[in-house]
Amino acid sequence: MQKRVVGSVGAIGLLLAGCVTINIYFPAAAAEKAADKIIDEVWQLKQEAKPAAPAAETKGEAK
Amino acid sequence: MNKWMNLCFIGMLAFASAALAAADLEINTPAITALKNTMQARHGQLAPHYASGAVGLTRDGNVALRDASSVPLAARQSVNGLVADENRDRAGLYREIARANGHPEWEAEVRSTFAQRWIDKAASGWWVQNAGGAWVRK
Amino acid sequence: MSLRGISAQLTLSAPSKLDITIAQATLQGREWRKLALYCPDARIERDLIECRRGLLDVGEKFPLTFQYRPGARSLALTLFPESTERWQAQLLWRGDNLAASLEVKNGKAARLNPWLPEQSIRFNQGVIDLTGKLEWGVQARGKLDVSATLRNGGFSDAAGTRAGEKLAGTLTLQAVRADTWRWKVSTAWREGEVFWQPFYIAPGERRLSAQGSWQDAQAVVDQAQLEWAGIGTAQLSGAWNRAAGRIEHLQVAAKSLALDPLYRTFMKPWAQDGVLSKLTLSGVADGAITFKQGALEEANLVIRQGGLKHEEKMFGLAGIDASLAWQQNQARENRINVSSGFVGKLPLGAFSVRATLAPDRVSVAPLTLPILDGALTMEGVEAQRENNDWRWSLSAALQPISMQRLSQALQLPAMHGTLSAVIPQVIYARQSLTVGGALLFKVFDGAVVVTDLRATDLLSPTPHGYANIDMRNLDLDLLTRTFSFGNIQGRLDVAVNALELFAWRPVKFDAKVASSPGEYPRKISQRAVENITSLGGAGGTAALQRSFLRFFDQFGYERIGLSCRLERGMCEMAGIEDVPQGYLIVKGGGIPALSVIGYNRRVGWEELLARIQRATQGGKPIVQ
Repeated sequence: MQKRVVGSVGAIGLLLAGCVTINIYFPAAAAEKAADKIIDEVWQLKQEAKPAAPAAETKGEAK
Repeated sequence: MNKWMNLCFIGMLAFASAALAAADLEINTPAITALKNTMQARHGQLAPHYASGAVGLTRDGNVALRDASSVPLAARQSVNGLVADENRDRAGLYREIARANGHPEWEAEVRSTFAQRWIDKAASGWWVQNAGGAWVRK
Repeated sequence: MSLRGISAQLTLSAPSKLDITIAQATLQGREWRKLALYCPDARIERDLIECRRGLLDVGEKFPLTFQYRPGARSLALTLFPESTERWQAQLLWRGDNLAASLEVKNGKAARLNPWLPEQSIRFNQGVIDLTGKLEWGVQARGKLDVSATLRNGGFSDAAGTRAGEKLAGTLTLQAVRADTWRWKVSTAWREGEVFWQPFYIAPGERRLSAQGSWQDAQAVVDQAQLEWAGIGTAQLSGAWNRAAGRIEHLQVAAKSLALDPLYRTFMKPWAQDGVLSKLTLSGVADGAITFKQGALEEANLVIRQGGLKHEEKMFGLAGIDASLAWQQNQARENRINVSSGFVGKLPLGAFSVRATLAPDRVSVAPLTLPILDGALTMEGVEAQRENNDWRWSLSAALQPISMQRLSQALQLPAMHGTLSAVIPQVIYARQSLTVGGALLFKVFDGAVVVTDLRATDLLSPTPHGYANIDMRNLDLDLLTRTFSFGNIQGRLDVAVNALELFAWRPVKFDAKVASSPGEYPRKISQRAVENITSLGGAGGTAALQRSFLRFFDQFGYERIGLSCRLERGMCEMAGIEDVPQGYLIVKGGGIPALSVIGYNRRVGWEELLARIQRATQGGKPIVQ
């Protein structure tokens, strides 16, 4: 029993080592979307209305 | 070994779908906004040079002096300067996007993604580098 | 030179006809195919072959005449490519002696293109006049005389990164051969401009005269003088090792060069980014450099009455007198005296720098930089070259500066007390600055400790800064008086942790303001209360003004506490403790007591800054 546990821990270790590439997966679609958004702004390809600054809703009160 | 490969593949798929679901990259940091603004301001000066073909878009996500013949000699140095400044900001932009998303090692991939999108979105008449590095007019 | 597939056809009639075709000709690596010479009006006699209205076809067709006298061993050849253009050559040879002359009138510069050493560059405009004479004889004797002028010249490469326009100039060359060639050349550039990436040379007069010798092994310049209008004159001498293709030795010396045009023309274009690209210089300099075997051996520069100013007014120095020296394999003493300067709005007094410069090491003697009535002293200033990058380190101390003078200079509200600091270690390498240990300031009668201070990408458009700041026992009376916030009496501790700056603006931090522990008078004025409440938005003040408390000018308090965690432009706020629906900012105590409660936990950072500014500018808080 003891031996089997050690074995599977080793296997997971091996699996993790073998799959190191997972960690550096690059989100190509999201990057493309981000690029498009930035390029549109830099080159002013789409005239977007700038979102207004969120109004302050703070209220202080003295008592 | 094959079994491990399969497991790896499944693992990657799981990760990939999780990441896809996680959606957008963070591009709203002050650094990125500041770079975007200076590049936007510079675009007004660069645009006529893109249109005349003096400056083109390279396949590695930069801009380059392509044919400056139409620019008066005395102004070529300033076009040179614009190109250098733009490339510096672009390098900063790629670095900051990678950094803002917690993966500085993504810089090269961010750059190549941008390289493709700059070229895809370039106006017709502008000069861009094809995959072989040759200049073509859009 | 080689010629292949020559055929000649002679038709003897009146007039005779001579046609010569050459299938392939090569001359100095250039190749022509299908050359032809047509002479419809040839004269063939015992001692004369003459072609009076010939046509040379080298792709382009040139009218020509020639006269060949086999007996006299002479050939005279004239080409008329265009009506006003003439290329005329004469050859005479007797035994081993050769005499040749060439005369060009209105020659198109573009015809030289195939023979230019740099093949990417082409003349696209320009007219040349040239006379040349060559004598070549036995026992290695010879003589060459050339004088040429260029008018309205223009050249460019394909990308336009190396181009010249409207160029005009002259060249004279005299050379005599007795065993070796001795030559003398003088050229003048009179008109036109050149862009040779990254340099731009504006129209202006430049002259170069030189003399030397030319041998198989090396070309020697005994003496040369370069005069550059607007900058000055330089003397050169040197030798070029032709076999090895490198500079054997080169000496350049110049006196009284104008620094600003020198920098603008030759140095600024190199400094694409960073501080060096945005300077304005003044003054004059004497300089000398020596190269040996392809490498810089020694450089000396003396600057007199120099000035330096950053174009965006970040800093400047005036009255620079410097003597700078660098030598291969040897450390040299350098000295810079500066009579005044400024950094931002801060004036600097006179100071002098003494530094030892070695090829991969700089060490600076202890240095005192007077600032207002205090001074910044630096010790252990050293730079070491590591993998082509310089790593600087130093330690510094700020001798007390009166805050009154400092605030006046920085156009800040008048402050009192003194500012002093201890900076144990500063390291700068790869555009990153790291301050080791803790930076200690004394302000508002309290102590400020800055730790983990570092800045990265300093020369890029996106500099990042990081620090932890801890301020203890600040005198609130001094502080609030300075910023006309409304008087508060007491002591305050401020902690700003994990501060992150981008382009010198805070983008992230975890800040906490709290009353210092200990016994001291605690009083808060009504105006201060109004201002504190206005930081949380309008409304509170109105409530205060309506209440009976407005009859009092001052209130007692027990504790003040406010925190802001800034992230993504939003400030997450909290106070001393949470109370129902809000958080306590000022906890009342004594008589009359007053407490301030904040209700909004999230405030936009920019909005908060605007409110602080409004409150500290002494204006009335806006009540809506």
